[in-house]
Amino acid sequence: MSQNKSSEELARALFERASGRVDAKTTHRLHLLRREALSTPNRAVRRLVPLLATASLLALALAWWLPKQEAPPVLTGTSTSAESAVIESDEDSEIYAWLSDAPVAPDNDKGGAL
Amino acid sequence: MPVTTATTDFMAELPAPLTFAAKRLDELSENSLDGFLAGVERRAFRLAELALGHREDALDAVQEAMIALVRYRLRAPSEWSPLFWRILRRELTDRHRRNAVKRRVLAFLGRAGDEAGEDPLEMLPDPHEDPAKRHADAVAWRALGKALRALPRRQRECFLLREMQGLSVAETAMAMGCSEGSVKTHLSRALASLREQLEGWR
Repeated sequence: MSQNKSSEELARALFERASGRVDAKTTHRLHLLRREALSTPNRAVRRLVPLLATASLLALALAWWLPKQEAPPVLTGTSTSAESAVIESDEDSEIYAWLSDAPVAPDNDKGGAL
Repeated sequence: MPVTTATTDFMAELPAPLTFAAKRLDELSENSLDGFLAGVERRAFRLAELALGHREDALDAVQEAMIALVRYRLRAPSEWSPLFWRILRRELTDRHRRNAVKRRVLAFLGRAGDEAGEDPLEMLPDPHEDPAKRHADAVAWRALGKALRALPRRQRECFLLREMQGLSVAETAMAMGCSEGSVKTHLSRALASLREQLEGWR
């Protein structure tokens, strides 16, 4: 019978037989692979997760590092001038207060000394 | 996924166009795609096995094609079949190229390929079948795979999709990304080459 069939017909029949008779082990594996594929909603998103995590970490590190580098000159300059101004004004007021309260020297001292 | 009572109640409250859209989405749900993949997975596996000559590679290729198709789950079901075969064809082409490089490297290192580890008798698990016929089929399967893998890539793809899978000329052209005329040319050359190689079958 097969004498009358062409090679492609025989190949097709063989393929049909093979597809219909996949062994139980392979059938089970195909079933598992299908379940796994269907439970993966979006692989592209899954692939992006490590990238997004790395980018977030880099952004955090940058945010922590940048103020540390720029802050000292700005903050020290401002605080020094402000603090010194406050201190100077306090000192001035204290001096004037002391001067106003300070006892005035009697005139006889001056005269006696002469 | 079957429509639950809660879903039905929710859908009843929606305006008509949204209800239609919800029903449409339900049609395109997981179960439909699951059914489609369940229907093609064995043929896809056998096709990949013929193209690659390796069971594990074939399973991997089918899985990758399934995962890739899931991304198109919202497309109309009529588009799934051409998309799936197109994706699988691309996957097989990539793996075939990688395997060719791997074989060259192994040959350079003086190590043989790993095709010898395959058991062709596993393809026919029916214990009640005539052992002689089973053996003849296993030998023929291996010879067919070997002859196919010796063909130029486009001829092999064309033969697998058109003759083995049974796609129409137009579907084959779409899956291969070429014209229908090219499909006919590739197929004619593939058949001529295979007839010579598989002369022993007749």
